[in-house]
Amino acid sequence: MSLSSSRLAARDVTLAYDNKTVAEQLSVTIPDGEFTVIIGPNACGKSTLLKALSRVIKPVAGQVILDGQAIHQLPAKEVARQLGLLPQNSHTPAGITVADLVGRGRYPHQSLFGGWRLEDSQAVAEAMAATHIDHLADRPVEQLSGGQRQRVWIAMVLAQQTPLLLLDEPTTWLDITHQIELMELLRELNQRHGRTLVVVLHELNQACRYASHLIAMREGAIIAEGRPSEIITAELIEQVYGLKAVIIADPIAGTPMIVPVGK
Amino acid sequence: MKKRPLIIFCFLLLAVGSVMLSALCRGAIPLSLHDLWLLLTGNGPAGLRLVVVEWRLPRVLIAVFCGAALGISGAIFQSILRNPLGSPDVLGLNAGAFSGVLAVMLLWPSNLFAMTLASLVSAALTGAIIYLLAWRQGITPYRLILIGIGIRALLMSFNGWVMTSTSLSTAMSAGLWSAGSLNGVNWQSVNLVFPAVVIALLGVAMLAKRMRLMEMGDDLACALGIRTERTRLGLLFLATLLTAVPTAVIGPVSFVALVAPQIARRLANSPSGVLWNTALCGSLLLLVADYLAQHAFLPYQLPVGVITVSVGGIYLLSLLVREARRS
Repeated sequence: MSLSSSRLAARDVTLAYDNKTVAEQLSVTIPDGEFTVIIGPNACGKSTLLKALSRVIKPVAGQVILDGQAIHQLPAKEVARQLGLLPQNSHTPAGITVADLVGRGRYPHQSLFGGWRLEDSQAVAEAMAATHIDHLADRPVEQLSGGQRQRVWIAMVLAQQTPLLLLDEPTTWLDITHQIELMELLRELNQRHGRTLVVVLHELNQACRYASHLIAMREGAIIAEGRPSEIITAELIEQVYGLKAVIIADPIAGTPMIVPVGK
Repeated sequence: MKKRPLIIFCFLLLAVGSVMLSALCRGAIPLSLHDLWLLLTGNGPAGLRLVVVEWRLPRVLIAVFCGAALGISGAIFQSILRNPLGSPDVLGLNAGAFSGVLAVMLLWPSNLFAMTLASLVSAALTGAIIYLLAWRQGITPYRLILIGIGIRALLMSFNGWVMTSTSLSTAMSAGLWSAGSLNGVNWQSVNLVFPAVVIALLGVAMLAKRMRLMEMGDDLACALGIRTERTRLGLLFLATLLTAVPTAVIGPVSFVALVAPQIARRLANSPSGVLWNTALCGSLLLLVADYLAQHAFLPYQLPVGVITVSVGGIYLLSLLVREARRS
Protein backbone atom coordinates (compact mmCIF):
# COMPACT_ATOMS: atom_id res chain seq x y z
CA MET A 1 0.00 0.00 0.00
CA SER A 2 1.50 3.28 -1.04
CA LEU A 3 1.05 6.48 0.90
CA SER A 4 0.22 8.37 -2.27
CA SER A 5 -3.23 6.78 -2.42
CA SER A 6 -4.65 8.56 0.58
CA ARG A 7 -7.30 11.23 0.64
CA LEU A 8 -7.39 11.78 4.39
CA ALA A 9 -4.49 12.42 6.74
CA ALA A 10 -3.57 14.25 9.93
CA ARG A 11 -0.28 16.15 9.94
CA ASP A 12 1.41 16.96 13.24
CA VAL A 13 -1.88 17.63 14.97
CA THR A 14 -2.14 18.59 18.62
CA LEU A 15 -5.54 17.74 20.03
CA ALA A 16 -6.94 19.08 23.30
CA TYR A 17 -10.17 19.31 25.32
CA ASP A 18 -10.61 21.82 28.13
CA ASN A 19 -6.91 22.74 27.96
CA LYS A 20 -6.10 19.08 28.54
CA THR A 21 -3.87 17.83 25.75
CA VAL A 22 -4.95 14.49 24.36
CA ALA A 23 -2.37 14.11 21.60
CA GLU A 24 0.69 16.05 20.48
CA GLN A 25 2.35 16.14 17.07
CA LEU A 26 0.29 13.21 15.88
CA SER A 27 0.45 12.24 12.23
CA VAL A 28 -1.64 9.55 10.61
CA THR A 29 -2.49 8.60 7.04
CA ILE A 30 -5.71 6.81 6.20
CA PRO A 31 -5.10 4.45 3.26
CA ASP A 32 -7.81 4.58 0.57
CA GLY A 33 -10.05 1.57 0.11
CA GLU A 34 -8.89 -0.10 3.31
CA PHE A 35 -10.78 -1.15 6.41
CA THR A 36 -8.81 0.74 9.05
CA VAL A 37 -9.45 -0.03 12.71
CA ILE A 38 -8.08 2.08 15.55
CA ILE A 39 -7.50 0.28 18.86
CA GLY A 40 -6.08 1.37 22.18
CA PRO A 41 -6.98 1.63 25.87
CA ASN A 42 -9.59 4.03 27.20
CA ALA A 43 -8.68 7.70 26.92
CA CYS A 44 -5.80 7.05 24.51
CA GLY A 45 -7.24 9.64 22.13
CA LYS A 46 -8.77 7.39 19.47
CA SER A 47 -12.21 9.01 19.54
CA THR A 48 -10.62 12.44 19.62
CA LEU A 49 -8.53 11.55 16.59
CA LEU A 50 -11.65 10.40 14.76
CA LYS A 51 -13.40 13.66 15.57
CA ALA A 52 -10.44 15.66 14.35
CA LEU A 53 -10.32 13.66 11.12
CA SER A 54 -13.99 14.41 10.54
CA ARG A 55 -13.73 18.18 11.19
CA VAL A 56 -15.83 17.98 14.36
CA ILE A 57 -13.03 19.30 16.54
CA LYS A 58 -10.30 21.64 15.39
CA PRO A 59 -6.70 20.76 16.19
CA VAL A 60 -4.87 23.24 18.43
CA ALA A 61 -1.90 22.90 16.08
CA GLY A 62 -1.24 21.06 12.84
CA GLN A 63 -3.76 20.23 10.14
CA VAL A 64 -6.10 17.56 8.90
CA ILE A 65 -5.80 17.21 5.15
CA LEU A 66 -8.62 16.09 2.86
CA ASP A 67 -7.71 15.78 -0.83
CA GLY A 68 -4.64 17.94 -0.33
CA GLN A 69 -6.49 20.80 1.38
CA ALA A 70 -6.82 21.79 5.03
CA ILE A 71 -10.17 20.33 6.09
CA HIS A 72 -11.14 23.31 8.25
CA GLN A 73 -10.80 25.66 5.29
CA LEU A 74 -13.13 23.63 3.08
CA PRO A 75 -16.87 24.41 3.07
CA ALA A 76 -18.56 22.28 5.75
CA LYS A 77 -21.14 20.80 3.38
CA GLU A 78 -18.53 19.88 0.81
CA VAL A 79 -16.59 17.94 3.44
CA ALA A 80 -19.84 16.24 4.47
CA ARG A 81 -20.27 14.96 0.91
CA GLN A 82 -16.86 13.25 1.09
CA LEU A 83 -16.71 12.09 4.66
CA GLY A 84 -19.34 10.69 7.00
CA LEU A 85 -19.08 10.23 10.76
CA LEU A 86 -21.12 8.17 13.16
CA PRO A 87 -20.30 9.55 16.62
CA GLN A 88 -20.80 7.62 19.82
CA ASN A 89 -23.60 9.62 21.37
CA SER A 90 -26.44 10.52 19.08
CA HIS A 91 -29.94 11.41 20.17
CA THR A 92 -32.98 9.88 18.54
CA PRO A 93 -35.52 12.65 17.91
CA ALA A 94 -38.86 11.82 19.52
CA GLY A 95 -41.34 10.08 17.26
CA ILE A 96 -39.09 9.91 14.18
CA THR A 97 -39.52 6.99 11.78
CA VAL A 98 -36.67 4.89 10.40
CA ALA A 99 -37.02 6.28 6.86
CA ASP A 100 -37.09 9.86 8.15
CA LEU A 101 -33.98 9.39 10.27
CA VAL A 102 -32.07 7.74 7.41
CA GLY A 103 -33.23 10.58 5.15
CA ARG A 104 -31.51 13.11 7.38
CA GLY A 105 -28.21 11.80 6.06
CA ARG A 106 -29.10 13.47 2.76
CA TYR A 107 -28.67 16.96 4.22
CA PRO A 108 -25.24 17.67 2.67
CA HIS A 109 -26.66 16.94 -0.78
CA GLN A 110 -29.61 19.30 -0.44
CA SER A 111 -29.84 23.02 -1.13
CA LEU A 112 -31.31 25.55 1.31
CA PHE A 113 -34.92 25.39 0.14
CA GLY A 114 -34.55 22.47 -2.26
CA GLY A 115 -37.04 19.73 -1.80
CA TRP A 116 -36.66 15.98 -1.65
CA ARG A 117 -35.42 14.57 -4.96
CA LEU A 118 -35.56 11.16 -6.58
CA GLU A 119 -31.88 10.53 -5.94
CA ASP A 120 -32.45 11.20 -2.24
CA SER A 121 -35.13 8.52 -2.14
CA GLN A 122 -32.82 6.15 -4.00
CA ALA A 123 -29.94 6.79 -1.62
CA VAL A 124 -32.20 6.17 1.38
CA ALA A 125 -33.60 2.97 -0.16
CA GLU A 126 -30.08 1.69 -0.94
CA ALA A 127 -28.84 2.50 2.55
CA MET A 128 -31.77 0.72 4.15
CA ALA A 129 -31.33 -2.29 1.88
CA ALA A 130 -27.60 -2.52 2.64
CA THR A 131 -28.28 -2.50 6.38
CA HIS A 132 -31.30 -4.83 6.05
CA ILE A 133 -33.78 -2.47 7.65
CA ASP A 134 -36.05 -1.79 4.65
CA HIS A 135 -38.94 -3.65 6.30
CA LEU A 136 -38.72 -1.26 9.27
CA ALA A 137 -39.01 1.93 7.17
CA ASP A 138 -42.22 3.25 8.75
CA ARG A 139 -41.54 2.13 12.32
CA PRO A 140 -40.67 4.69 15.00
CA VAL A 141 -36.95 4.35 15.80
CA GLU A 142 -37.67 4.47 19.55
CA GLN A 143 -39.55 1.16 19.34
CA LEU A 144 -36.63 -0.77 17.82
CA SER A 145 -34.13 -3.01 19.59
CA GLY A 146 -30.58 -1.82 20.20
CA GLY A 147 -29.21 -3.79 17.27
CA GLN A 148 -31.82 -2.51 14.86
CA ARG A 149 -31.37 1.02 16.08
CA GLN A 150 -27.63 0.90 15.52
CA ARG A 151 -28.24 -0.30 11.96
CA VAL A 152 -30.59 2.64 11.44
CA TRP A 153 -27.84 5.04 12.46
CA ILE A 154 -25.40 3.33 10.14
CA ALA A 155 -27.95 3.54 7.34
CA MET A 156 -28.21 7.27 8.00
CA VAL A 157 -24.47 7.70 7.50
CA LEU A 158 -24.60 5.44 4.43
CA ALA A 159 -27.34 7.59 2.89
CA GLN A 160 -24.83 10.41 3.05
CA GLN A 161 -23.04 8.44 0.27
CA THR A 162 -19.55 9.45 1.24
CA PRO A 163 -16.48 7.61 -0.05
CA LEU A 164 -14.96 7.93 3.45
CA LEU A 165 -16.79 6.56 6.46
CA LEU A 166 -15.72 7.07 10.09
CA LEU A 167 -17.42 5.14 12.89
CA ASP A 168 -16.81 5.56 16.61
CA GLU A 169 -17.34 2.28 18.49
CA PRO A 170 -20.35 1.21 16.45
CA THR A 171 -20.61 -2.15 18.22
CA THR A 172 -20.98 -0.81 21.77
CA TRP A 173 -24.30 -1.80 23.37
CA LEU A 174 -24.78 -4.64 20.88
CA ASP A 175 -24.81 -8.32 21.79
CA ILE A 176 -22.26 -10.60 20.15
CA THR A 177 -24.56 -11.71 17.33
CA HIS A 178 -25.33 -8.14 16.34
CA GLN A 179 -21.68 -7.19 16.71
CA ILE A 180 -20.61 -9.83 14.20
CA GLU A 181 -23.50 -8.95 11.90
CA LEU A 182 -22.41 -5.33 11.96
CA MET A 183 -18.74 -6.16 11.33
CA GLU A 184 -19.76 -8.34 8.36
CA LEU A 185 -21.85 -5.46 7.05
CA LEU A 186 -18.90 -3.08 7.35
CA ARG A 187 -16.63 -5.54 5.55
CA GLU A 188 -19.18 -5.79 2.78
CA LEU A 189 -19.31 -2.00 2.48
CA ASN A 190 -15.55 -1.92 2.26
CA GLN A 191 -15.03 -4.80 -0.15
CA ARG A 192 -18.11 -4.63 -2.35
CA HIS A 193 -18.81 -0.90 -2.34
CA GLY A 194 -15.20 0.24 -2.05
CA ARG A 195 -15.76 2.59 0.87
CA THR A 196 -12.77 3.62 2.92
CA LEU A 197 -13.57 2.83 6.54
CA VAL A 198 -12.05 4.11 9.77
CA VAL A 199 -13.57 2.41 12.80
CA VAL A 200 -12.71 2.75 16.48
CA LEU A 201 -13.16 -0.61 18.20
CA HIS A 202 -12.67 -2.00 21.68
CA GLU A 203 -12.89 -5.68 20.80
CA LEU A 204 -9.36 -6.69 19.81
CA ASN A 205 -10.16 -10.00 18.21
CA GLN A 206 -12.83 -8.45 16.01
CA ALA A 207 -10.39 -5.69 15.13
CA CYS A 208 -7.79 -8.25 14.04
CA ARG A 209 -10.32 -10.29 12.15
CA TYR A 210 -11.95 -7.54 10.11
CA ALA A 211 -9.32 -4.82 9.78
CA SER A 212 -7.10 -4.68 6.74
CA HIS A 213 -5.14 -1.88 8.38
CA LEU A 214 -4.74 -1.64 12.13
CA ILE A 215 -3.63 1.40 14.13
CA ALA A 216 -2.65 0.83 17.77
CA MET A 217 -2.64 3.94 19.97
CA ARG A 218 -1.51 4.71 23.48
CA GLU A 219 -1.50 8.07 25.26
CA GLY A 220 -2.13 10.06 22.12
CA ALA A 221 0.59 8.43 20.07
CA ILE A 222 0.58 5.73 17.42
CA ILE A 223 2.57 2.72 18.63
CA ALA A 224 2.19 0.54 15.56
CA GLU A 225 0.25 0.30 12.31
CA GLY A 226 -0.10 -2.17 9.48
CA ARG A 227 -1.83 -5.46 8.70
CA PRO A 228 -2.98 -7.14 11.92
CA SER A 229 -0.99 -10.30 11.11
CA GLU A 230 2.14 -8.21 10.68
CA ILE A 231 1.96 -6.04 13.78
CA ILE A 232 0.10 -7.96 16.48
CA THR A 233 2.55 -9.55 18.90
CA ALA A 234 2.45 -10.29 22.61
CA GLU A 235 4.98 -7.45 23.08
CA LEU A 236 2.76 -4.94 21.31
CA ILE A 237 -0.28 -5.88 23.41
CA GLU A 238 1.79 -5.52 26.58
CA GLN A 239 3.16 -2.18 25.39
CA VAL A 240 -0.25 -0.76 24.40
CA TYR A 241 -2.50 -2.20 27.08
CA GLY A 242 -0.07 -3.28 29.82
CA LEU A 243 -1.64 -6.72 29.52
CA LYS A 244 0.13 -10.08 29.31
CA ALA A 245 -1.35 -12.10 26.49
CA VAL A 246 -0.72 -15.04 24.22
CA ILE A 247 -1.32 -14.65 20.50
CA ILE A 248 -2.80 -17.61 18.67
CA ALA A 249 -4.38 -17.95 15.24
CA ASP A 250 -8.13 -17.39 15.04
CA PRO A 251 -9.46 -20.90 14.28
CA ILE A 252 -11.91 -19.55 11.68
CA ALA A 253 -10.20 -16.61 10.00
CA GLY A 254 -6.55 -17.39 10.75
CA THR A 255 -6.03 -13.80 11.93
CA PRO A 256 -4.23 -13.08 15.23
CA MET A 257 -6.29 -13.80 18.32
CA ILE A 258 -5.37 -12.29 21.66
CA VAL A 259 -5.83 -14.47 24.72
CA PRO A 260 -5.14 -12.63 28.01
CA VAL A 261 -2.99 -14.49 30.51
CA GLY A 262 -4.38 -12.90 33.67
CA LYS A 263 -2.78 -13.50 37.05
CA MET B 1 -44.87 17.60 4.55
CA LYS B 2 -46.31 14.19 5.18
CA LYS B 3 -49.98 13.35 5.15
CA ARG B 4 -50.83 13.41 8.85
CA PRO B 5 -49.06 16.71 9.69
CA LEU B 6 -50.68 18.22 6.60
CA ILE B 7 -54.16 17.17 7.73
CA ILE B 8 -53.48 18.60 11.18
CA PHE B 9 -52.17 21.77 9.58
CA CYS B 10 -55.43 22.22 7.67
CA PHE B 11 -57.48 21.40 10.74
CA LEU B 12 -55.59 23.96 12.84
CA LEU B 13 -55.91 26.56 10.09
CA LEU B 14 -59.66 25.99 10.07
CA ALA B 15 -59.83 26.24 13.85
CA VAL B 16 -57.82 29.49 13.90
CA GLY B 17 -60.04 30.91 11.17
CA SER B 18 -63.27 30.10 12.95
CA VAL B 19 -62.11 31.44 16.32
CA MET B 20 -60.98 34.61 14.54
CA LEU B 21 -64.40 35.01 12.99
CA SER B 22 -66.30 34.43 16.21
CA ALA B 23 -63.96 36.82 18.06
CA LEU B 24 -64.76 39.46 15.44
CA CYS B 25 -68.50 38.89 15.72
CA ARG B 26 -68.88 38.54 19.47
CA GLY B 27 -68.88 41.49 21.83
CA ALA B 28 -71.05 44.23 23.31
CA ILE B 29 -72.37 44.71 19.77
CA PRO B 30 -72.94 41.22 18.34
CA LEU B 31 -72.68 40.83 14.59
CA SER B 32 -73.75 38.21 12.09
CA LEU B 33 -71.26 36.83 9.56
CA HIS B 34 -73.12 38.78 6.90
CA ASP B 35 -72.66 42.05 8.81
CA LEU B 36 -69.01 41.22 9.25
CA TRP B 37 -68.56 40.61 5.53
CA LEU B 38 -70.17 43.94 4.72
CA LEU B 39 -67.96 45.75 7.22
CA LEU B 40 -64.72 44.15 6.10
CA THR B 41 -65.46 44.93 2.45
CA GLY B 42 -65.88 48.60 3.34
CA ASN B 43 -69.66 48.83 3.62
CA GLY B 44 -71.89 49.21 6.65
CA PRO B 45 -72.28 51.95 9.24
CA ALA B 46 -69.15 53.90 10.20
CA GLY B 47 -69.73 53.38 13.92
CA LEU B 48 -69.71 49.63 13.52
CA ARG B 49 -66.63 49.82 11.32
CA LEU B 50 -64.83 51.59 14.11
CA VAL B 51 -65.69 48.76 16.49
CA VAL B 52 -64.74 45.94 14.17
CA VAL B 53 -61.94 47.29 11.99
CA GLU B 54 -60.25 49.56 14.51
CA TRP B 55 -60.84 47.62 17.75
CA ARG B 56 -61.64 43.96 17.23
CA LEU B 57 -59.60 43.21 14.10
CA PRO B 58 -56.20 44.39 15.40
CA ARG B 59 -56.82 42.51 18.63
CA VAL B 60 -57.50 39.29 16.75
CA LEU B 61 -54.51 39.77 14.45
CA ILE B 62 -52.23 40.49 17.40
CA ALA B 63 -53.42 37.30 19.08
CA VAL B 64 -52.62 35.33 15.91
CA PHE B 65 -49.16 36.83 15.34
CA CYS B 66 -48.06 36.90 18.96
CA GLY B 67 -49.36 33.39 19.60
CA ALA B 68 -47.46 32.07 16.58
CA ALA B 69 -44.32 33.94 17.60
CA LEU B 70 -44.43 32.61 21.16
CA GLY B 71 -45.11 29.07 19.96
CA ILE B 72 -42.16 29.08 17.56
CA SER B 73 -39.93 30.68 20.18
CA GLY B 74 -40.80 27.87 22.58
CA ALA B 75 -40.20 25.25 19.90
CA ILE B 76 -36.72 26.64 19.22
CA PHE B 77 -35.75 26.68 22.89
CA GLN B 78 -37.09 23.18 23.45
CA SER B 79 -35.17 21.93 20.43
CA ILE B 80 -31.88 23.57 21.36
CA LEU B 81 -32.12 22.47 24.98
CA ARG B 82 -33.57 19.05 24.12
CA ASN B 83 -35.91 19.52 27.05
CA PRO B 84 -39.65 20.20 27.11
CA LEU B 85 -39.12 22.63 30.00
CA GLY B 86 -36.81 24.83 27.98
CA SER B 87 -39.18 27.64 27.14
CA PRO B 88 -38.51 31.38 27.23
CA ASP B 89 -40.81 31.93 30.20
CA VAL B 90 -39.13 29.24 32.31
CA LEU B 91 -35.72 30.65 31.38
CA GLY B 92 -36.67 34.16 32.44
CA LEU B 93 -36.54 35.89 29.06
CA ASN B 94 -40.06 37.22 29.66
CA ALA B 95 -39.04 38.56 33.03
CA GLY B 96 -35.98 40.14 31.43
CA ALA B 97 -38.07 41.75 28.72
CA PHE B 98 -40.40 43.06 31.41
CA SER B 99 -37.50 44.69 33.23
CA GLY B 100 -36.65 46.64 30.09
CA VAL B 101 -40.27 47.66 29.53
CA LEU B 102 -40.55 48.69 33.15
CA ALA B 103 -37.56 50.98 32.77
CA VAL B 104 -39.08 52.61 29.70
CA MET B 105 -42.45 52.96 31.42
CA LEU B 106 -40.78 54.99 34.13
CA LEU B 107 -38.81 57.17 31.72
CA TRP B 108 -41.02 57.59 28.61
CA PRO B 109 -44.51 56.34 29.37
CA SER B 110 -46.64 55.04 26.48
CA ASN B 111 -44.00 55.01 23.79
CA LEU B 112 -44.66 51.69 22.07
CA PHE B 113 -41.55 51.70 19.91
CA ALA B 114 -39.26 52.47 22.83
CA MET B 115 -40.97 49.75 24.85
CA THR B 116 -40.46 47.19 22.10
CA LEU B 117 -36.85 48.14 21.69
CA ALA B 118 -36.25 47.99 25.44
CA SER B 119 -38.01 44.65 25.64
CA LEU B 120 -35.86 43.29 22.84
CA VAL B 121 -32.60 44.62 24.24
CA SER B 122 -33.24 43.45 27.79
CA ALA B 123 -34.48 40.02 26.65
CA ALA B 124 -31.36 39.62 24.51
CA LEU B 125 -29.23 40.79 27.42
CA THR B 126 -30.90 38.29 29.74
CA GLY B 127 -30.35 35.56 27.17
CA ALA B 128 -26.69 36.52 26.80
CA ILE B 129 -26.14 36.53 30.56
CA ILE B 130 -27.71 33.08 30.93
CA TYR B 131 -25.69 31.79 27.99
CA LEU B 132 -22.41 33.15 29.34
CA LEU B 133 -23.03 31.87 32.87
CA ALA B 134 -23.93 28.43 31.51
CA TRP B 135 -20.98 28.29 29.10
CA ARG B 136 -18.25 25.88 30.03
CA GLN B 137 -16.57 24.72 26.78
CA GLY B 138 -20.03 24.44 25.29
CA ILE B 139 -23.54 24.43 26.64
CA THR B 140 -25.22 21.72 28.67
CA PRO B 141 -28.99 22.09 28.38
CA TYR B 142 -29.66 21.28 32.00
CA ARG B 143 -27.21 23.86 33.31
CA LEU B 144 -28.73 26.48 31.02
CA ILE B 145 -32.23 25.75 32.33
CA LEU B 146 -31.17 25.85 35.99
CA ILE B 147 -29.29 29.11 35.53
CA GLY B 148 -32.28 30.48 33.61
CA ILE B 149 -34.61 29.65 36.49
CA GLY B 150 -32.21 31.38 38.90
CA ILE B 151 -31.96 34.49 36.72
CA ARG B 152 -35.74 34.53 36.36
CA ALA B 153 -36.22 34.57 40.14
CA LEU B 154 -33.70 37.39 40.42
CA LEU B 155 -35.40 39.46 37.73
CA MET B 156 -38.88 38.86 39.14
CA SER B 157 -37.86 40.20 42.52
CA PHE B 158 -36.16 43.15 40.83
CA ASN B 159 -39.30 43.89 38.83
CA GLY B 160 -41.38 43.63 41.99
CA TRP B 161 -39.10 46.03 43.79
CA VAL B 162 -39.24 48.57 40.95
CA MET B 163 -43.03 48.38 40.90
CA THR B 164 -43.41 48.96 44.63
CA SER B 165 -41.10 51.96 44.58
CA THR B 166 -42.75 53.94 41.75
CA SER B 167 -45.79 56.15 41.75
CA LEU B 168 -49.15 54.48 42.14
CA SER B 169 -50.34 55.16 38.59
CA THR B 170 -47.16 53.82 36.97
CA ALA B 171 -47.29 50.76 39.20
CA MET B 172 -50.92 50.22 38.26
CA SER B 173 -50.30 50.34 34.53
CA ALA B 174 -47.15 48.25 34.88
CA GLY B 175 -49.06 45.73 36.98
CA LEU B 176 -51.82 45.53 34.42
CA TRP B 177 -49.30 45.12 31.64
CA SER B 178 -47.36 42.47 33.56
CA ALA B 179 -50.46 40.26 33.77
CA GLY B 180 -50.45 40.10 29.98
CA SER B 181 -53.38 41.61 28.17
CA LEU B 182 -54.60 42.37 24.68
CA ASN B 183 -56.66 45.31 25.86
CA GLY B 184 -55.67 48.46 24.06
CA VAL B 185 -53.82 46.93 21.12
CA ASN B 186 -54.41 48.85 17.91
CA TRP B 187 -53.15 49.01 14.35
CA GLN B 188 -49.95 50.60 15.58
CA SER B 189 -49.20 47.40 17.50
CA VAL B 190 -50.02 45.30 14.44
CA ASN B 191 -47.71 47.39 12.26
CA LEU B 192 -44.94 46.76 14.73
CA VAL B 193 -45.52 43.07 15.38
CA PHE B 194 -46.33 41.91 11.87
CA PRO B 195 -43.02 42.77 10.12
CA ALA B 196 -40.91 41.64 13.07
CA VAL B 197 -42.66 38.29 13.27
CA VAL B 198 -42.58 37.72 9.51
CA ILE B 199 -38.86 38.47 9.27
CA ALA B 200 -38.10 36.23 12.24
CA LEU B 201 -40.20 33.40 10.82
CA LEU B 202 -38.35 33.65 7.49
CA GLY B 203 -35.12 33.27 9.43
CA VAL B 204 -36.54 30.29 11.26
CA ALA B 205 -37.64 28.73 7.96
CA MET B 206 -34.04 28.97 6.77
CA LEU B 207 -32.64 27.37 9.90
CA ALA B 208 -35.42 24.85 10.62
CA LYS B 209 -33.78 21.91 8.87
CA ARG B 210 -30.47 22.55 10.61
CA MET B 211 -32.27 22.84 13.93
CA ARG B 212 -33.83 19.41 13.44
CA LEU B 213 -30.45 17.88 12.63
CA MET B 214 -28.84 19.45 15.69
CA GLU B 215 -31.37 17.62 17.85
CA MET B 216 -29.41 14.45 17.03
CA GLY B 217 -26.32 15.84 18.74
CA ASP B 218 -23.68 18.41 17.89
CA ASP B 219 -21.08 15.95 16.62
CA LEU B 220 -23.39 14.35 14.12
CA ALA B 221 -24.81 17.68 12.97
CA CYS B 222 -21.28 19.00 12.49
CA ALA B 223 -20.34 15.89 10.51
CA LEU B 224 -23.36 16.49 8.29
CA GLY B 225 -21.93 19.89 7.40
CA ILE B 226 -23.62 22.24 9.86
CA ARG B 227 -21.76 25.02 11.65
CA THR B 228 -23.31 24.20 14.98
CA GLU B 229 -22.33 27.10 17.26
CA ARG B 230 -23.20 29.67 14.62
CA THR B 231 -26.56 28.03 13.88
CA ARG B 232 -27.36 27.80 17.57
CA LEU B 233 -26.58 31.47 18.10
CA GLY B 234 -28.76 32.43 15.14
CA LEU B 235 -31.63 30.32 16.44
CA LEU B 236 -31.29 31.76 19.95
CA PHE B 237 -31.38 35.27 18.52
CA LEU B 238 -34.53 34.54 16.52
CA ALA B 239 -36.20 32.84 19.50
CA THR B 240 -35.39 35.85 21.69
CA LEU B 241 -36.85 38.19 19.07
CA LEU B 242 -39.99 36.06 18.86
CA THR B 243 -40.42 36.31 22.64
CA ALA B 244 -39.43 39.94 23.09
CA VAL B 245 -41.73 41.48 20.47
CA PRO B 246 -44.95 39.92 21.81
CA THR B 247 -43.85 40.71 25.37
CA ALA B 248 -43.44 44.38 24.51
CA VAL B 249 -46.88 44.60 22.96
CA ILE B 250 -49.09 42.37 25.10
CA GLY B 251 -46.99 41.77 28.19
CA PRO B 252 -45.37 38.59 29.46
CA VAL B 253 -48.01 36.02 28.46
CA SER B 254 -46.80 32.77 29.97
CA PHE B 255 -47.09 29.17 28.89
CA VAL B 256 -48.05 29.61 25.23
CA ALA B 257 -44.38 29.09 24.37
CA LEU B 258 -44.20 26.11 26.70
CA VAL B 259 -47.39 24.37 25.67
CA ALA B 260 -47.84 25.07 21.93
CA PRO B 261 -44.85 22.96 20.74
CA GLN B 262 -45.92 20.08 22.98
CA ILE B 263 -49.45 20.06 21.62
CA ALA B 264 -48.23 20.28 18.04
CA ARG B 265 -45.83 17.38 18.56
CA ARG B 266 -48.47 15.23 20.20
CA LEU B 267 -50.98 15.96 17.45
CA ALA B 268 -48.60 15.13 14.63
CA ASN B 269 -46.85 12.22 16.34
CA SER B 270 -43.82 12.83 14.10
CA PRO B 271 -41.18 15.55 13.96
CA SER B 272 -41.73 16.54 10.34
CA GLY B 273 -43.61 19.75 9.68
CA VAL B 274 -44.19 20.30 13.38
CA LEU B 275 -42.84 23.85 13.38
CA TRP B 276 -45.69 25.35 11.33
CA ASN B 277 -48.25 23.44 13.32
CA THR B 278 -46.63 24.85 16.44
CA ALA B 279 -47.16 28.37 15.11
CA LEU B 280 -50.84 27.62 14.50
CA CYS B 281 -51.22 25.99 17.92
CA GLY B 282 -49.74 29.12 19.51
CA SER B 283 -52.15 31.34 17.59
CA LEU B 284 -55.09 29.15 18.51
CA LEU B 285 -54.11 29.05 22.20
CA LEU B 286 -53.78 32.81 22.48
CA LEU B 287 -56.96 33.45 20.46
CA VAL B 288 -59.00 31.08 22.60
CA ALA B 289 -57.47 32.35 25.84
CA ASP B 290 -58.25 35.93 24.85
CA TYR B 291 -61.76 34.96 23.78
CA LEU B 292 -62.36 33.34 27.16
CA ALA B 293 -60.77 36.26 28.98
CA GLN B 294 -63.19 38.63 27.24
CA HIS B 295 -66.40 36.69 27.18
CA ALA B 296 -66.39 33.78 29.60
CA PHE B 297 -66.46 35.67 32.87
CA LEU B 298 -68.82 38.55 32.06
CA PRO B 299 -69.32 41.11 33.43
CA TYR B 300 -65.60 40.82 34.29
CA GLN B 301 -62.88 40.97 31.68
CA LEU B 302 -59.74 39.15 32.73
CA PRO B 303 -56.23 39.79 31.42
CA VAL B 304 -55.41 37.02 28.94
CA GLY B 305 -52.30 36.18 30.95
CA VAL B 306 -54.47 34.99 33.84
CA ILE B 307 -56.11 32.42 31.58
CA THR B 308 -52.86 31.16 30.05
CA VAL B 309 -51.20 30.97 33.45
CA SER B 310 -53.99 28.91 34.95
CA VAL B 311 -54.32 26.59 31.96
CA GLY B 312 -50.54 26.39 31.51
CA GLY B 313 -49.92 25.88 35.22
CA ILE B 314 -52.01 22.73 35.24
CA TYR B 315 -50.25 21.51 32.12
CA LEU B 316 -46.78 22.27 33.52
CA LEU B 317 -47.61 20.38 36.68
CA SER B 318 -48.69 17.29 34.75
CA LEU B 319 -45.56 17.54 32.59
CA LEU B 320 -43.32 17.73 35.66
CA VAL B 321 -45.06 14.80 37.30
CA ARG B 322 -44.66 12.70 34.17
CA GLU B 323 -40.98 13.66 33.73
CA ALA B 324 -40.34 12.84 37.39
CA ARG B 325 -42.02 9.45 37.07
CA ARG B 326 -40.03 8.61 33.96
CA SER B 327 -36.61 9.33 35.43
